[in-house]
Amino acid sequence: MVLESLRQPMEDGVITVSRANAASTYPARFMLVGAMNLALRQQRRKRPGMRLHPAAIARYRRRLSGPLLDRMDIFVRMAEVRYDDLFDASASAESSAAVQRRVNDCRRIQMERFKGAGRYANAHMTQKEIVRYCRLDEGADKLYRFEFARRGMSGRGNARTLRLARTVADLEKSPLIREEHLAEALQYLAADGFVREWS
Amino acid sequence: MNGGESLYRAWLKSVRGMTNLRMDVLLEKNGCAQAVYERAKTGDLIRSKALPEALYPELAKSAADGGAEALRERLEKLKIRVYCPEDEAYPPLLKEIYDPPRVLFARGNGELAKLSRSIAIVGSRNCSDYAKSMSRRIAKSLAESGVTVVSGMAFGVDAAAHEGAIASQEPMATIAVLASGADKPSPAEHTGLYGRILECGLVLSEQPFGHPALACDFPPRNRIIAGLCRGVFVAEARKKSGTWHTINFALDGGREVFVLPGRAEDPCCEGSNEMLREGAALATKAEDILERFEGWHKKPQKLKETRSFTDEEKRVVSCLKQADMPADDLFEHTQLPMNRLLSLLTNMALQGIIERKSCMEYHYIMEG
Repeated sequence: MVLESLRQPMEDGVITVSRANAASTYPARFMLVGAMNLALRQQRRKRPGMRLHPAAIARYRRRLSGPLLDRMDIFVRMAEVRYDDLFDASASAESSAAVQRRVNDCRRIQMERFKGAGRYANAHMTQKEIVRYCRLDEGADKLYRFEFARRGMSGRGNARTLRLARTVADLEKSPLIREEHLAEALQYLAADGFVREWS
Repeated sequence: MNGGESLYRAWLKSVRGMTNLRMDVLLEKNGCAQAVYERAKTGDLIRSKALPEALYPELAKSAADGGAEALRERLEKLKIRVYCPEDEAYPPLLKEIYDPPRVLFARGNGELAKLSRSIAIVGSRNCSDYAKSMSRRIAKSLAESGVTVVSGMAFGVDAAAHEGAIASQEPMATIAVLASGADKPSPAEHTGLYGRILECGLVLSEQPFGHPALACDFPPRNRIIAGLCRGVFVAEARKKSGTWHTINFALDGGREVFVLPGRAEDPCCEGSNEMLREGAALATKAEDILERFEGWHKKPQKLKETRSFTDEEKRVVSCLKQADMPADDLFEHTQLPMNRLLSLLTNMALQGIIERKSCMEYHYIMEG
Protein backbone atom coordinates (compact mmCIF):
# COMPACT_ATOMS: atom_id res chain seq x y z
CA MET A 1 0.00 0.00 0.00
CA VAL A 2 2.86 2.32 0.79
CA LEU A 3 4.26 1.57 -2.65
CA GLU A 4 1.02 2.46 -4.34
CA SER A 5 0.99 5.92 -2.83
CA LEU A 6 4.16 6.58 -4.79
CA ARG A 7 2.20 6.46 -8.02
CA GLN A 8 1.30 10.14 -8.01
CA PRO A 9 4.77 11.56 -7.29
CA MET A 10 6.37 9.14 -9.74
CA GLU A 11 4.11 10.38 -12.47
CA ASP A 12 3.64 14.06 -11.67
CA GLY A 13 6.60 14.95 -9.50
CA VAL A 14 4.32 16.29 -6.78
CA ILE A 15 2.52 14.75 -3.86
CA THR A 16 -0.76 15.85 -2.36
CA VAL A 17 -1.33 15.27 1.33
CA SER A 18 -4.92 15.55 2.52
CA ARG A 19 -5.97 15.95 6.08
CA ALA A 20 -9.37 16.72 7.59
CA ASN A 21 -9.32 20.46 7.04
CA ALA A 22 -6.77 21.00 4.31
CA ALA A 23 -4.92 19.50 1.41
CA SER A 24 -1.38 20.54 0.49
CA THR A 25 0.69 19.77 -2.54
CA TYR A 26 4.44 19.51 -2.30
CA PRO A 27 7.12 19.03 -4.91
CA ALA A 28 8.39 15.47 -4.98
CA ARG A 29 10.95 14.80 -7.68
CA PHE A 30 13.10 11.78 -7.07
CA MET A 31 14.75 8.84 -8.66
CA LEU A 32 13.34 5.57 -7.42
CA VAL A 33 15.51 2.48 -7.36
CA GLY A 34 13.66 -0.67 -6.44
CA ALA A 35 14.82 -4.18 -5.83
CA MET A 36 12.70 -7.29 -5.73
CA ASN A 37 13.20 -11.01 -5.66
CA LEU A 38 11.69 -12.87 -8.58
CA ALA A 39 9.72 -14.85 -6.06
CA LEU A 40 9.65 -15.67 -2.37
CA ARG A 41 12.07 -18.24 -0.99
CA GLN A 42 14.36 -17.92 -3.92
CA GLN A 43 16.82 -20.78 -4.03
CA ARG A 44 20.28 -19.53 -3.19
CA ARG A 45 22.07 -22.24 -5.09
CA LYS A 46 20.99 -23.48 -8.46
CA ARG A 47 19.86 -27.00 -7.71
CA PRO A 48 18.58 -28.82 -10.72
CA GLY A 49 14.91 -29.59 -10.47
CA MET A 50 14.21 -27.17 -7.62
CA ARG A 51 11.53 -24.99 -9.05
CA LEU A 52 8.95 -22.80 -7.47
CA HIS A 53 5.26 -23.35 -7.91
CA PRO A 54 3.89 -20.97 -10.54
CA ALA A 55 0.92 -20.05 -8.38
CA ALA A 56 3.23 -19.03 -5.55
CA ILE A 57 5.26 -16.90 -7.91
CA ALA A 58 2.18 -15.17 -9.30
CA ARG A 59 0.92 -14.51 -5.80
CA TYR A 60 4.18 -12.84 -4.82
CA ARG A 61 4.41 -10.70 -7.93
CA ARG A 62 0.83 -9.56 -7.71
CA ARG A 63 1.95 -7.29 -4.91
CA LEU A 64 3.12 -4.84 -7.57
CA SER A 65 0.09 -3.40 -9.28
CA GLY A 66 -0.05 -2.86 -13.03
CA PRO A 67 -0.10 0.95 -12.76
CA LEU A 68 2.94 0.86 -10.50
CA LEU A 69 4.90 -1.37 -12.87
CA ASP A 70 3.87 0.91 -15.70
CA ARG A 71 5.68 3.80 -14.05
CA MET A 72 8.97 1.96 -13.78
CA ASP A 73 11.28 2.91 -16.61
CA ILE A 74 14.00 0.31 -16.48
CA PHE A 75 13.98 -3.34 -15.45
CA VAL A 76 17.23 -5.18 -15.00
CA ARG A 77 17.62 -8.74 -13.95
CA MET A 78 20.51 -9.13 -11.53
CA ALA A 79 22.64 -12.22 -11.60
CA GLU A 80 23.28 -14.21 -8.46
CA VAL A 81 26.41 -13.21 -6.57
CA ARG A 82 29.10 -15.79 -7.10
CA TYR A 83 31.91 -16.30 -4.63
CA ASP A 84 34.62 -15.78 -7.21
CA ASP A 85 33.19 -12.46 -8.27
CA LEU A 86 33.45 -11.08 -4.77
CA PHE A 87 37.14 -11.85 -4.51
CA ASP A 88 38.18 -11.36 -8.10
CA ALA A 89 41.18 -9.09 -8.03
CA SER A 90 41.41 -8.69 -11.80
CA ALA A 91 40.09 -5.40 -13.11
CA SER A 92 36.55 -5.29 -14.48
CA ALA A 93 35.93 -4.55 -18.14
CA GLU A 94 35.93 -0.79 -17.76
CA SER A 95 37.30 1.51 -15.10
CA SER A 96 34.84 3.66 -13.19
CA ALA A 97 36.59 6.71 -14.57
CA ALA A 98 35.87 5.63 -18.12
CA VAL A 99 32.21 5.03 -17.31
CA GLN A 100 31.97 8.36 -15.55
CA ARG A 101 33.41 10.09 -18.58
CA ARG A 102 30.79 8.52 -20.79
CA VAL A 103 27.98 9.45 -18.45
CA ASN A 104 29.20 13.03 -18.20
CA ASP A 105 29.43 13.37 -21.96
CA CYS A 106 25.89 12.12 -22.24
CA ARG A 107 24.75 14.52 -19.55
CA ARG A 108 26.36 17.40 -21.36
CA ILE A 109 24.47 16.58 -24.56
CA GLN A 110 21.20 16.62 -22.66
CA MET A 111 21.94 19.85 -20.84
CA GLU A 112 22.74 21.45 -24.17
CA ARG A 113 19.53 20.13 -25.63
CA PHE A 114 17.33 21.57 -22.92
CA LYS A 115 19.26 24.81 -22.41
CA GLY A 116 16.87 27.55 -21.44
CA ALA A 117 13.97 25.20 -20.87
CA GLY A 118 14.76 24.71 -17.21
CA ARG A 119 15.31 20.97 -17.56
CA TYR A 120 18.45 18.93 -17.75
CA ALA A 121 17.58 15.34 -18.54
CA ASN A 122 15.78 13.25 -21.12
CA ALA A 123 13.65 11.83 -18.34
CA HIS A 124 11.95 15.18 -18.00
CA MET A 125 10.99 15.52 -21.64
CA THR A 126 7.47 16.64 -22.36
CA GLN A 127 5.43 15.01 -25.08
CA LYS A 128 6.22 17.85 -27.45
CA GLU A 129 9.92 17.51 -26.79
CA ILE A 130 9.74 13.77 -27.36
CA VAL A 131 8.25 14.33 -30.79
CA ARG A 132 10.93 16.92 -31.56
CA TYR A 133 14.05 15.26 -30.24
CA CYS A 134 13.39 11.54 -30.47
CA ARG A 135 13.62 11.01 -34.18
CA LEU A 136 13.99 7.44 -35.32
CA ASP A 137 15.92 6.36 -38.36
CA GLU A 138 14.27 4.06 -40.88
CA GLY A 139 15.30 0.80 -39.27
CA ALA A 140 14.32 2.02 -35.82
CA ASP A 141 10.96 3.20 -37.07
CA LYS A 142 10.16 -0.17 -38.57
CA LEU A 143 11.18 -1.97 -35.42
CA TYR A 144 9.21 0.39 -33.24
CA ARG A 145 6.01 0.03 -35.23
CA PHE A 146 6.17 -3.71 -34.82
CA GLU A 147 6.97 -3.73 -31.12
CA PHE A 148 4.44 -1.00 -30.40
CA ALA A 149 1.64 -3.09 -31.84
CA ARG A 150 2.87 -6.34 -30.37
CA ARG A 151 3.08 -4.99 -26.85
CA GLY A 152 -0.04 -2.90 -27.09
CA MET A 153 1.85 0.05 -25.63
CA SER A 154 0.14 2.81 -23.74
CA GLY A 155 0.96 6.50 -24.13
CA ARG A 156 3.04 6.29 -21.00
CA GLY A 157 4.85 3.24 -22.33
CA ASN A 158 5.58 5.05 -25.57
CA ALA A 159 7.00 8.08 -23.79
CA ARG A 160 9.13 5.93 -21.57
CA THR A 161 10.56 3.86 -24.40
CA LEU A 162 11.47 6.87 -26.51
CA ARG A 163 13.10 8.75 -23.65
CA LEU A 164 15.15 5.68 -22.88
CA ALA A 165 16.12 5.19 -26.50
CA ARG A 166 17.11 8.85 -26.71
CA THR A 167 19.51 8.39 -23.79
CA VAL A 168 21.00 5.24 -25.33
CA ALA A 169 21.56 7.17 -28.55
CA ASP A 170 23.12 10.05 -26.58
CA LEU A 171 25.55 7.62 -24.99
CA GLU A 172 26.65 6.69 -28.49
CA LYS A 173 26.69 10.38 -29.45
CA SER A 174 24.19 9.75 -32.24
CA PRO A 175 21.80 12.54 -33.25
CA LEU A 176 19.23 10.11 -34.64
CA ILE A 177 17.92 7.14 -32.72
CA ARG A 178 19.13 4.13 -34.67
CA GLU A 179 17.73 0.63 -34.68
CA GLU A 180 20.30 -0.77 -32.25
CA HIS A 181 19.58 2.03 -29.76
CA LEU A 182 15.89 1.29 -29.81
CA ALA A 183 16.53 -2.44 -29.63
CA GLU A 184 18.65 -1.98 -26.54
CA ALA A 185 16.04 0.28 -24.93
CA LEU A 186 13.36 -2.33 -25.56
CA GLN A 187 15.27 -4.84 -23.46
CA TYR A 188 14.99 -2.57 -20.45
CA LEU A 189 11.23 -2.62 -20.50
CA ALA A 190 9.32 -4.91 -18.18
CA ALA A 191 8.88 -8.45 -19.40
CA ASP A 192 5.47 -9.28 -20.83
CA GLY A 193 3.25 -10.93 -18.30
CA PHE A 194 5.62 -10.29 -15.42
CA VAL A 195 2.81 -10.61 -12.92
CA ARG A 196 0.01 -12.47 -14.55
CA GLU A 197 1.26 -15.42 -16.47
CA TRP A 198 4.25 -17.44 -15.55
CA SER A 199 5.78 -19.22 -18.45
CA MET B 1 -29.07 -34.22 -25.90
CA ASN B 2 -29.57 -31.67 -23.24
CA GLY B 3 -33.16 -32.56 -22.71
CA GLY B 4 -34.20 -35.87 -21.34
CA GLU B 5 -32.06 -38.23 -19.41
CA SER B 6 -28.74 -36.36 -19.69
CA LEU B 7 -30.23 -33.29 -18.07
CA TYR B 8 -31.57 -35.25 -15.13
CA ARG B 9 -28.31 -37.10 -14.78
CA ALA B 10 -26.56 -33.74 -14.61
CA TRP B 11 -29.02 -32.61 -11.98
CA LEU B 12 -28.49 -35.77 -9.99
CA LYS B 13 -24.74 -35.33 -10.09
CA SER B 14 -25.02 -31.84 -8.68
CA VAL B 15 -26.95 -32.91 -5.57
CA ARG B 16 -24.88 -32.50 -2.44
CA GLY B 17 -23.28 -35.71 -1.29
CA MET B 18 -23.72 -37.48 -4.60
CA THR B 19 -21.05 -39.91 -5.79
CA ASN B 20 -20.88 -42.21 -8.80
CA LEU B 21 -21.67 -45.29 -6.75
CA ARG B 22 -24.61 -43.67 -5.02
CA MET B 23 -25.89 -42.53 -8.38
CA ASP B 24 -25.72 -46.10 -9.65
CA VAL B 25 -27.75 -47.38 -6.71
CA LEU B 26 -30.44 -44.72 -7.15
CA LEU B 27 -30.67 -45.36 -10.87
CA GLU B 28 -30.94 -49.07 -10.34
CA LYS B 29 -33.70 -48.73 -7.82
CA ASN B 30 -35.68 -46.10 -9.68
CA GLY B 31 -35.04 -46.84 -13.33
CA CYS B 32 -33.64 -43.59 -14.64
CA ALA B 33 -32.58 -40.17 -13.47
CA GLN B 34 -35.77 -38.53 -14.61
CA ALA B 35 -37.71 -40.95 -12.44
CA VAL B 36 -35.47 -40.10 -9.51
CA TYR B 37 -36.23 -36.44 -10.07
CA GLU B 38 -39.99 -36.89 -10.32
CA ARG B 39 -40.14 -39.18 -7.33
CA ALA B 40 -37.92 -36.97 -5.21
CA LYS B 41 -40.40 -34.19 -5.84
CA THR B 42 -43.40 -36.23 -4.78
CA GLY B 43 -41.61 -38.09 -2.03
CA ASP B 44 -41.98 -41.55 -3.58
CA LEU B 45 -38.29 -42.15 -4.06
CA ILE B 46 -37.42 -45.83 -3.79
CA ARG B 47 -34.73 -45.96 -1.16
CA SER B 48 -31.84 -48.25 -0.49
CA LYS B 49 -29.99 -49.31 2.61
CA ALA B 50 -26.76 -48.64 0.76
CA LEU B 51 -27.38 -44.90 0.72
CA PRO B 52 -26.83 -42.54 3.66
CA GLU B 53 -29.96 -41.08 5.22
CA ALA B 54 -28.74 -37.53 4.74
CA LEU B 55 -28.90 -37.94 0.98
CA TYR B 56 -32.69 -38.12 0.74
CA PRO B 57 -33.52 -34.69 2.14
CA GLU B 58 -30.86 -33.23 -0.18
CA LEU B 59 -32.50 -34.89 -3.14
CA ALA B 60 -35.92 -33.69 -2.10
CA LYS B 61 -34.73 -30.16 -1.55
CA SER B 62 -32.88 -29.97 -4.82
CA ALA B 63 -35.82 -31.38 -6.76
CA ALA B 64 -38.32 -29.12 -5.03
CA ASP B 65 -36.29 -26.03 -5.94
CA GLY B 66 -36.98 -26.73 -9.59
CA GLY B 67 -33.41 -27.90 -9.82
CA ALA B 68 -33.54 -29.53 -13.23
CA GLU B 69 -35.13 -26.57 -15.00
CA ALA B 70 -32.72 -24.08 -13.51
CA LEU B 71 -29.92 -26.38 -14.53
CA ARG B 72 -31.13 -26.58 -18.12
CA GLU B 73 -31.20 -22.80 -18.32
CA ARG B 74 -27.71 -22.44 -16.97
CA LEU B 75 -26.42 -25.12 -19.29
CA GLU B 76 -27.88 -23.28 -22.25
CA LYS B 77 -26.59 -19.95 -21.10
CA LEU B 78 -23.05 -21.27 -20.68
CA LYS B 79 -23.37 -23.40 -23.81
CA ILE B 80 -22.44 -26.55 -21.95
CA ARG B 81 -23.57 -29.93 -23.24
CA VAL B 82 -24.12 -32.98 -21.10
CA TYR B 83 -23.39 -36.56 -22.09
CA CYS B 84 -23.98 -39.87 -20.38
CA PRO B 85 -22.66 -43.29 -21.34
CA GLU B 86 -25.85 -44.19 -23.16
CA ASP B 87 -25.48 -41.30 -25.61
CA GLU B 88 -24.08 -42.00 -29.06
CA ALA B 89 -21.64 -39.14 -28.80
CA TYR B 90 -20.09 -40.47 -25.59
CA PRO B 91 -16.54 -41.51 -26.47
CA PRO B 92 -16.39 -45.29 -26.86
CA LEU B 93 -12.90 -45.49 -25.39
CA LEU B 94 -14.14 -43.79 -22.25
CA LYS B 95 -17.04 -46.19 -21.95
CA GLU B 96 -14.62 -49.08 -21.75
CA ILE B 97 -12.85 -48.05 -18.57
CA TYR B 98 -13.64 -49.60 -15.23
CA ASP B 99 -15.50 -46.62 -13.77
CA PRO B 100 -16.60 -44.30 -16.58
CA PRO B 101 -18.00 -40.89 -15.71
CA ARG B 102 -21.78 -41.19 -15.33
CA VAL B 103 -22.06 -37.57 -16.49
CA LEU B 104 -19.72 -35.65 -18.75
CA PHE B 105 -20.01 -31.87 -19.17
CA ALA B 106 -18.57 -30.47 -22.38
CA ARG B 107 -17.93 -26.90 -23.46
CA GLY B 108 -16.34 -25.51 -26.60
CA ASN B 109 -16.48 -25.48 -30.38
CA GLY B 110 -15.35 -29.06 -30.81
CA GLU B 111 -17.76 -31.94 -31.13
CA LEU B 112 -17.30 -34.90 -28.86
CA ALA B 113 -18.84 -37.19 -31.43
CA LYS B 114 -16.07 -36.32 -33.85
CA LEU B 115 -13.30 -37.47 -31.55
CA SER B 116 -11.41 -40.20 -33.31
CA ARG B 117 -7.66 -40.25 -32.70
CA SER B 118 -6.49 -39.07 -29.33
CA ILE B 119 -3.27 -39.09 -27.35
CA ALA B 120 -2.82 -37.76 -23.83
CA ILE B 121 0.21 -35.68 -22.94
CA VAL B 122 0.93 -35.60 -19.22
CA GLY B 123 3.75 -34.70 -16.88
CA SER B 124 4.83 -32.69 -13.87
CA ARG B 125 3.69 -29.16 -13.18
CA ASN B 126 7.11 -28.35 -11.77
CA CYS B 127 8.92 -29.45 -14.88
CA SER B 128 12.05 -28.48 -16.76
CA ASP B 129 12.02 -26.15 -19.75
CA TYR B 130 13.08 -29.10 -21.86
CA ALA B 131 9.91 -31.00 -20.95
CA LYS B 132 7.79 -27.97 -21.79
CA SER B 133 9.47 -27.45 -25.15
CA MET B 134 9.16 -31.09 -26.09
CA SER B 135 5.53 -31.26 -25.00
CA ARG B 136 4.70 -28.28 -27.13
CA ARG B 137 6.63 -29.58 -30.11
CA ILE B 138 5.22 -33.10 -30.01
CA ALA B 139 1.69 -31.85 -29.35
CA LYS B 140 1.88 -29.62 -32.41
CA SER B 141 3.22 -32.46 -34.52
CA LEU B 142 0.50 -34.84 -33.35
CA ALA B 143 -2.24 -32.30 -33.93
CA GLU B 144 -0.93 -31.64 -37.43
CA SER B 145 -1.40 -35.34 -38.13
CA GLY B 146 -5.02 -35.22 -37.11
CA VAL B 147 -4.60 -36.42 -33.52
CA THR B 148 -6.45 -34.70 -30.68
CA VAL B 149 -4.15 -33.87 -27.79
CA VAL B 150 -5.76 -34.47 -24.40
CA SER B 151 -4.43 -33.02 -21.17
CA GLY B 152 -5.37 -31.38 -17.89
CA MET B 153 -4.63 -27.66 -18.44
CA ALA B 154 -2.36 -27.65 -15.40
CA PHE B 155 0.89 -25.71 -15.12
CA GLY B 156 3.91 -27.11 -16.83
CA VAL B 157 3.56 -29.98 -19.29
CA ASP B 158 -0.23 -29.80 -19.69
CA ALA B 159 -0.29 -26.13 -20.67
CA ALA B 160 2.64 -26.57 -23.06
CA ALA B 161 0.86 -29.49 -24.73
CA HIS B 162 -2.35 -27.52 -25.19
CA GLU B 163 -0.41 -24.57 -26.61
CA GLY B 164 1.42 -26.79 -29.06
CA ALA B 165 -1.81 -28.38 -30.26
CA ILE B 166 -3.52 -25.01 -30.64
CA ALA B 167 -0.55 -23.77 -32.67
CA SER B 168 -1.23 -26.45 -35.28
CA GLN B 169 -4.44 -24.60 -36.16
CA GLU B 170 -6.25 -27.87 -36.74
CA PRO B 171 -9.88 -28.30 -35.71
CA MET B 172 -10.44 -30.42 -32.59
CA ALA B 173 -6.76 -30.00 -31.83
CA THR B 174 -7.05 -30.35 -28.10
CA ILE B 175 -9.27 -31.38 -25.20
CA ALA B 176 -8.76 -30.23 -21.64
CA VAL B 177 -10.20 -32.34 -18.83
CA LEU B 178 -10.61 -30.32 -15.66
CA ALA B 179 -10.78 -31.35 -12.03
CA SER B 180 -13.03 -28.36 -11.45
CA GLY B 181 -16.41 -27.78 -13.11
CA ALA B 182 -16.37 -27.25 -16.88
CA ASP B 183 -17.29 -23.60 -16.42
CA LYS B 184 -14.41 -22.85 -14.07
CA PRO B 185 -10.91 -22.66 -15.50
CA SER B 186 -8.47 -24.19 -13.10
CA PRO B 187 -5.87 -22.96 -12.41
CA ALA B 188 -7.28 -19.44 -12.69
CA GLU B 189 -4.04 -18.28 -14.28
CA HIS B 190 -4.93 -20.33 -17.34
CA THR B 191 -8.15 -18.49 -18.06
CA GLY B 192 -6.70 -17.21 -21.32
CA LEU B 193 -5.64 -20.70 -22.37
CA TYR B 194 -9.08 -21.98 -21.40
CA GLY B 195 -10.66 -19.50 -23.79
CA ARG B 196 -8.42 -20.60 -26.64
CA ILE B 197 -9.10 -24.27 -25.97
CA LEU B 198 -12.84 -23.54 -26.19
CA GLU B 199 -12.26 -22.10 -29.63
CA CYS B 200 -10.43 -25.01 -31.17
CA GLY B 201 -11.45 -27.96 -29.05
CA LEU B 202 -13.28 -28.94 -25.91
CA VAL B 203 -13.18 -28.54 -22.18
CA LEU B 204 -14.59 -31.54 -20.34
CA SER B 205 -15.38 -32.24 -16.75
CA GLU B 206 -17.16 -34.80 -14.63
CA GLN B 207 -17.85 -32.24 -11.92
CA PRO B 208 -20.90 -29.99 -11.64
CA PHE B 209 -20.73 -26.23 -12.21
CA GLY B 210 -18.60 -24.04 -10.08
CA HIS B 211 -17.00 -27.04 -8.43
CA PRO B 212 -13.55 -25.95 -7.24
CA ALA B 213 -10.69 -28.30 -7.94
CA LEU B 214 -9.76 -30.07 -4.73
CA ALA B 215 -6.70 -32.25 -4.35
CA CYS B 216 -8.85 -35.39 -4.26
CA ASP B 217 -10.40 -34.52 -7.63
CA PHE B 218 -7.22 -34.92 -9.62
CA PRO B 219 -6.79 -38.69 -9.66
CA PRO B 220 -10.38 -39.21 -10.93
CA ARG B 221 -9.76 -36.55 -13.55
CA ASN B 222 -6.59 -38.32 -14.63
CA ARG B 223 -8.56 -41.51 -15.22
CA ILE B 224 -10.69 -39.60 -17.71
CA ILE B 225 -7.62 -38.26 -19.48
CA ALA B 226 -6.22 -41.75 -19.84
CA GLY B 227 -9.64 -43.16 -20.61
CA LEU B 228 -10.20 -40.89 -23.60
CA CYS B 229 -7.04 -41.91 -25.40
CA ARG B 230 -5.40 -44.81 -27.18
CA GLY B 231 -2.09 -43.81 -25.65
CA VAL B 232 -0.50 -41.60 -23.02
CA PHE B 233 2.74 -39.69 -23.56
CA VAL B 234 4.71 -38.76 -20.44
CA ALA B 235 6.99 -35.77 -20.96
CA GLU B 236 8.50 -35.78 -17.50
CA ALA B 237 7.68 -37.11 -14.05
CA ARG B 238 9.39 -37.12 -10.70
CA LYS B 239 9.72 -40.12 -8.47
CA LYS B 240 6.53 -39.35 -6.58
CA SER B 241 4.55 -37.58 -9.28
CA GLY B 242 0.79 -37.62 -9.74
CA THR B 243 1.55 -38.75 -13.27
CA TRP B 244 1.98 -42.29 -11.95
CA HIS B 245 -1.78 -42.35 -11.30
CA THR B 246 -2.48 -41.51 -14.88
CA ILE B 247 -0.10 -44.20 -16.10
CA ASN B 248 -1.71 -46.82 -13.89
CA PHE B 249 -5.10 -45.92 -15.27
CA ALA B 250 -3.73 -46.20 -18.77
CA LEU B 251 -2.21 -49.61 -18.10
CA ASP B 252 -5.37 -50.86 -16.42
CA GLY B 253 -7.28 -49.81 -19.48
CA GLY B 254 -4.90 -51.45 -21.88
CA ARG B 255 -3.66 -48.16 -23.28
CA GLU B 256 -0.16 -47.56 -24.64
CA VAL B 257 2.37 -45.63 -22.61
CA PHE B 258 5.11 -43.54 -24.23
CA VAL B 259 7.79 -41.75 -22.28
CA LEU B 260 10.33 -39.07 -23.11
CA PRO B 261 13.76 -40.00 -21.78
CA GLY B 262 15.35 -37.49 -19.43
CA ARG B 263 18.86 -36.66 -18.21
CA ALA B 264 20.41 -39.25 -15.94
CA GLU B 265 20.87 -37.31 -12.72
CA ASP B 266 17.96 -34.94 -13.01
CA PRO B 267 15.36 -35.47 -10.26
CA CYS B 268 12.78 -33.91 -12.57
CA CYS B 269 12.65 -37.04 -14.68
CA GLU B 270 13.47 -39.74 -12.13
CA GLY B 271 9.92 -41.01 -12.40
CA SER B 272 9.67 -40.95 -16.17
CA ASN B 273 13.02 -42.71 -16.57
CA GLU B 274 11.80 -45.33 -14.12
CA MET B 275 8.76 -45.87 -16.31
CA LEU B 276 11.10 -46.55 -19.20
CA ARG B 277 12.94 -49.06 -17.08
CA GLU B 278 9.66 -50.78 -16.38
CA GLY B 279 9.03 -51.22 -20.05
CA ALA B 280 7.23 -48.15 -21.36
CA ALA B 281 7.90 -47.29 -24.99
CA LEU B 282 10.48 -44.60 -25.63
CA ALA B 283 9.34 -41.64 -27.70
CA THR B 284 11.23 -38.52 -28.70
CA LYS B 285 9.08 -37.47 -31.61
CA ALA B 286 5.50 -37.68 -32.78
CA GLU B 287 6.34 -40.43 -35.29
CA ASP B 288 7.34 -42.74 -32.45
CA ILE B 289 3.77 -42.50 -31.21
CA LEU B 290 1.97 -42.45 -34.54
CA GLU B 291 3.64 -45.54 -35.93
CA ARG B 292 2.24 -47.66 -33.10
CA PHE B 293 -1.28 -47.25 -34.34
CA GLU B 294 -2.71 -48.68 -37.52
CA GLY B 295 -3.33 -46.03 -40.12
CA TRP B 296 -2.15 -42.98 -38.16
CA HIS B 297 0.27 -41.57 -40.68
CA LYS B 298 2.17 -38.40 -40.21
CA LYS B 299 1.18 -35.71 -42.67
CA PRO B 300 4.13 -34.68 -44.82
CA GLN B 301 5.64 -31.62 -43.24
CA LYS B 302 5.91 -28.41 -45.20
CA LEU B 303 9.56 -27.92 -45.99
CA LYS B 304 10.77 -25.43 -43.42
CA GLU B 305 13.48 -23.19 -44.74
CA THR B 306 16.18 -23.38 -42.15
CA ARG B 307 17.59 -20.01 -41.30
CA SER B 308 21.29 -19.56 -41.19
CA PHE B 309 22.46 -17.72 -38.13
CA THR B 310 25.09 -15.03 -37.99
CA ASP B 311 28.12 -15.74 -35.85
CA GLU B 312 26.82 -13.63 -33.03
CA GLU B 313 23.43 -15.29 -33.16
CA LYS B 314 25.13 -18.69 -33.11
CA ARG B 315 26.90 -17.81 -29.90
CA VAL B 316 23.65 -16.83 -28.22
CA VAL B 317 21.80 -19.87 -29.51
CA SER B 318 24.46 -22.32 -28.38
CA CYS B 319 24.21 -20.89 -24.85
CA LEU B 320 20.45 -21.01 -24.78
CA LYS B 321 20.39 -24.56 -26.08
CA GLN B 322 21.98 -25.60 -22.80
CA ALA B 323 19.52 -23.75 -20.59
CA ASP B 324 17.43 -20.64 -20.35
CA MET B 325 19.39 -17.77 -18.89
CA PRO B 326 19.16 -14.03 -18.20
CA ALA B 327 21.08 -11.36 -20.12
CA ASP B 328 23.91 -11.21 -17.58
CA ASP B 329 24.74 -14.87 -18.02
CA LEU B 330 24.60 -14.54 -21.79
CA PHE B 331 26.97 -11.61 -21.54
CA GLU B 332 29.40 -13.74 -19.59
CA HIS B 333 29.25 -16.66 -21.95
CA THR B 334 29.29 -14.83 -25.27
CA GLN B 335 31.53 -11.94 -24.25
CA LEU B 336 29.60 -9.66 -26.58
CA PRO B 337 29.44 -6.03 -25.47
CA MET B 338 26.30 -5.54 -23.42
CA ASN B 339 24.60 -2.99 -25.64
CA ARG B 340 25.30 -5.10 -28.71
CA LEU B 341 23.94 -8.16 -26.93
CA LEU B 342 20.75 -6.43 -25.89
CA SER B 343 19.89 -5.16 -29.32
CA LEU B 344 20.77 -8.56 -30.79
CA LEU B 345 18.34 -10.18 -28.36
CA THR B 346 15.57 -7.83 -29.44
CA ASN B 347 16.17 -8.72 -33.05
CA MET B 348 16.28 -12.44 -32.43
CA ALA B 349 13.05 -12.20 -30.47
CA LEU B 350 11.53 -10.34 -33.39
CA GLN B 351 12.41 -13.18 -35.72
CA GLY B 352 10.96 -15.73 -33.39
CA ILE B 353 14.27 -17.43 -32.71
CA ILE B 354 14.14 -16.73 -28.99
CA GLU B 355 11.67 -15.33 -26.50
CA ARG B 356 11.99 -13.55 -23.19
CA LYS B 357 10.12 -15.14 -20.32
CA SER B 358 8.40 -13.20 -17.58
CA CYS B 359 11.29 -13.92 -15.23
CA MET B 360 13.58 -12.10 -17.69
CA GLU B 361 15.34 -15.22 -18.88
CA TYR B 362 15.77 -15.89 -22.57
CA HIS B 363 14.56 -19.10 -24.15
CA TYR B 364 15.52 -20.68 -27.45
CA ILE B 365 12.46 -21.70 -29.44
CA MET B 366 13.09 -25.05 -31.06
CA GLU B 367 11.84 -25.64 -34.55
CA GLY B 368 9.23 -28.22 -35.39
